[in-house]
Amino acid sequence: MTEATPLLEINDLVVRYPAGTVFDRLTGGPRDITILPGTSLRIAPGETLGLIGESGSGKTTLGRAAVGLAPISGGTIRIGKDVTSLSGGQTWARMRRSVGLMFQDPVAALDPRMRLGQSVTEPLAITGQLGRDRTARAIELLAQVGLSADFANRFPHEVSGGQARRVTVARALALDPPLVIADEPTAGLDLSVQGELLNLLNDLQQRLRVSFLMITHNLAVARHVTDRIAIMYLGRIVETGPTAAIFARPAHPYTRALLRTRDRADGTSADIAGEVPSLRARPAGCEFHTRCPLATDHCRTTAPSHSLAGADHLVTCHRAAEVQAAATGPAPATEANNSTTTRILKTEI
Amino acid sequence: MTDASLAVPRSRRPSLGQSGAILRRLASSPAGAISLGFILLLFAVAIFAPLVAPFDPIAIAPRDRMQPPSAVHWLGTDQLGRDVLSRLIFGTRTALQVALAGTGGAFLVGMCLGMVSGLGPKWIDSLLVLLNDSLKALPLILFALALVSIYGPSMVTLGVIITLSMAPGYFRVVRNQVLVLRNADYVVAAQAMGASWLRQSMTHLLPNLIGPILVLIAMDIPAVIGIESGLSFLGQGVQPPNASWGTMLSEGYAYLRQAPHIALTAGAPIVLATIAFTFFGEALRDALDPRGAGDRR
Amino acid sequence: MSAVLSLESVSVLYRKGRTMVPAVRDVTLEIGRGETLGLVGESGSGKSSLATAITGLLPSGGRVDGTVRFEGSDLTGLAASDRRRLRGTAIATIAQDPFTSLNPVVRIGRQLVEFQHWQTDRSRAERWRRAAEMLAQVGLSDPEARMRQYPHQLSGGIRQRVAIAAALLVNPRLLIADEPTTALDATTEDQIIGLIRNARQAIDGAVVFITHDMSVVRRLCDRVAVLYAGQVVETGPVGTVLGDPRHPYTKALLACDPAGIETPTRLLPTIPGTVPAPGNLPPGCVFAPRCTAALPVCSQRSPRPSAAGPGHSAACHLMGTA
Repeated sequence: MTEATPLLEINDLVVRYPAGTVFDRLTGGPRDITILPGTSLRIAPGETLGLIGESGSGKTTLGRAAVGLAPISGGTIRIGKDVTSLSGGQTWARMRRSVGLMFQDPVAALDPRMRLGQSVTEPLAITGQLGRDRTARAIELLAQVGLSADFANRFPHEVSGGQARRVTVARALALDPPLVIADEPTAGLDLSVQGELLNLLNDLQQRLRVSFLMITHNLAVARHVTDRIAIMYLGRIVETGPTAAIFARPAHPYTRALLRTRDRADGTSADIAGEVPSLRARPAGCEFHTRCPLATDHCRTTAPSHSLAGADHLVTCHRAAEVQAAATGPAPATEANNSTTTRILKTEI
Repeated sequence: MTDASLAVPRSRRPSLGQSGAILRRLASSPAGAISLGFILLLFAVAIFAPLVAPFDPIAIAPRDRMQPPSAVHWLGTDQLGRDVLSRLIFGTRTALQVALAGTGGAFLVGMCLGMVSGLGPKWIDSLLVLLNDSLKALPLILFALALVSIYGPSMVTLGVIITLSMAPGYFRVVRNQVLVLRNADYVVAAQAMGASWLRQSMTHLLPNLIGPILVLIAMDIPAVIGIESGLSFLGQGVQPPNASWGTMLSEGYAYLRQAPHIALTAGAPIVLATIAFTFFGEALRDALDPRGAGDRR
Repeated sequence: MSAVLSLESVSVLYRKGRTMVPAVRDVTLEIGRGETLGLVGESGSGKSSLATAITGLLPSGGRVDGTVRFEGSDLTGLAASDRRRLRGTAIATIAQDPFTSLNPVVRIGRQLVEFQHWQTDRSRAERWRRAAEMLAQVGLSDPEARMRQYPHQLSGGIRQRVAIAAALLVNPRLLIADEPTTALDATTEDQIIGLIRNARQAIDGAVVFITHDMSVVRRLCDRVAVLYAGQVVETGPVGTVLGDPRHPYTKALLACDPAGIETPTRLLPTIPGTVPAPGNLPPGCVFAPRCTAALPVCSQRSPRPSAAGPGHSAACHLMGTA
């Protein structure tokens, strides 16, 4: 957490998309939508970070912005030794080689007119590392993800969703990147296939010592395969910390609500009501107050800042202490060294 | 198809090459097979016109004027005693030349500008779309007649007219396809792998948008033949004594009562070629869809 | 408890080339009044085909064998017009993505009015009022404003609420929900499940809930039928089937759910192998090739469903031996 230099470090990242029609702008409407309002995130070498959020929370945008595929209008991104503060430029070409990207829809991420063997070796072709025998490299890469050689000759529409997913894994790892960003790697997969894919990712991570940024809405999956998780709401990270600690003692009411939805077997009503507010009209104060069961007048006017809820466990909530106190789970072992937390707090923020 | 370096041992090759598979699928539908056959015949006739034609298409023989079909002149002769079959054969050559040059020029212009518009900065896009729409708004026949009256009727003028009138269609299709494709996940993925714009265009955009464009070309060829015939009919296209289906139709029209065979034999290939290219275009569209391979219900 | 819907040896077959391929084979089920039945299966299990067999909305080239009885009357022999009336008055469906079942260019209000087209005794104004009431009932705060909107202006969760309201407007006695929460976020899913639970109480009939998610079944259903490769391999009360599964497939499926695994693990359980293609089913038990407990008999004879408890049965040769 603090000792090692993070592999990926995102600081105060701002991403805005132009929005609205000319008419909107003339009538004084907002010129753009802020998807990420100054988001920070870091991943240590060899670590799996789960980025958790509901649809529209900006988690996909954050993943894409990390490789310069979103319009960045503020903040910095550092991968390894390379730092950049703006989109475009030469640095990105270098930085992108350190990151393998897996898209949400694996079939759409493969060119329908390319054989899988070509698709999987495309990163090598782009960086001029192809060597003479492309087929051999393709078969090697496919074997790494458990696909037989004849897949090299197939087209994306000829394979199942799970197999296409494996191809995108192989492609993401083709350049031996230190970091893989996986956007919803289990979306649309059946339970039995989902397990196989996650085991594959775990296995590859252990063999290749690669870091994962796993973007997902599935907490049940995140609990098993991530070291740390970051919970995102309206583009902000509201809580981050070791997976076990957050599952045992969530400190943010939003996290608590997300954790509870899955567990509830009976007919008790949902913790949080209503819909996610529009990004065009972000609520004042704490942005979660419109749906928060604990919101007070203070929450409605003043935005909370980061506070420490445990070792390496940060939360952005005025009432985090009460949320944690109400949590029934036992305190994780890391709670013991609470005395060191001030030091961590200084270096973390 | 796009990269020859991915050679796979023949023993493991499960299907034909992609172009082979497309051809096979094309020939598997009756409409596709018949239209393809007719089109190949037209091309053969056009290429080997001097060998196939029994007479010189522009040699005048005043004594043999307006003869009905006979053993010597299979389709008879026209008002100047020229052999109609030979003129028809050379007319095929003219028609295909104009069609290929016209659609080819329109395709190149539309494709390049469409790519620039789809990939370039917004102001270029707006400018090109404005130009394109303005061009498209001009009434074709008036535009063509104006050009002819300025530069005089010739094959070059004809080519320019056809290119300018057809290019907006290609521009539109290419630009819209590029706008869709450049946000497709696999193109963004290539971008994330560090691919340059040129590489993205050549490996992903072009192969994926060429299919609809080929279909469009096949469908446009009859329209181009129509433009050529129409302008020639009006005396503003191919100039006498050169043979063209349009000029033949125009000349035959004047003698419709005395020798109806002249106009009829000139009209038939226009109709047949139009039908053949249209059916071919439709068959091509079905054949090019890789997902439509086996199970068409 | 009288059956609202009963299926007897129902098979659904699709034409593929020259042969008919079974997507669903020999399914016998009964759903009683006031009951919510969960149809659980992975992709390719035939659960959606079974739903289309009930509603009679099979794609062309499909065929249903066996009998489907709705409140005692056979649906398979029904004329198309009677079937349509039934769909407009007694059987309602909620789709996975309501965006595809709502017309994108017609305002919500008008669509909701038109859904009541079979309720001939209601005036137009009355239909409008009922639509607004129903939207309020599914938890939309400003129904009149929603009714003036187009489908694309609504978020996924709101659209699903509108779809539920639309289904309830016809006063159905059978509600079929085909993966209505799959595309939704966890918190929204929770709200929609609550709504469907309330809907079941509001309608005088039964709910068939199709899903691949065991946790949804646990939260919502009374009984569950587990489908594998077009066959019901196990059926029974949710508590018993999920608490004491008897079929190896049900056991494996429950074991695979990461939500059900107490201690975090990096090695998740899987079911080796793949679901057989409908045209290429293995001999004997369909699950035998992937079953860890398979006996020699499993690849020879197809097991018949046998009782495992009150209302609980499973189709497995191991039932007798265990």
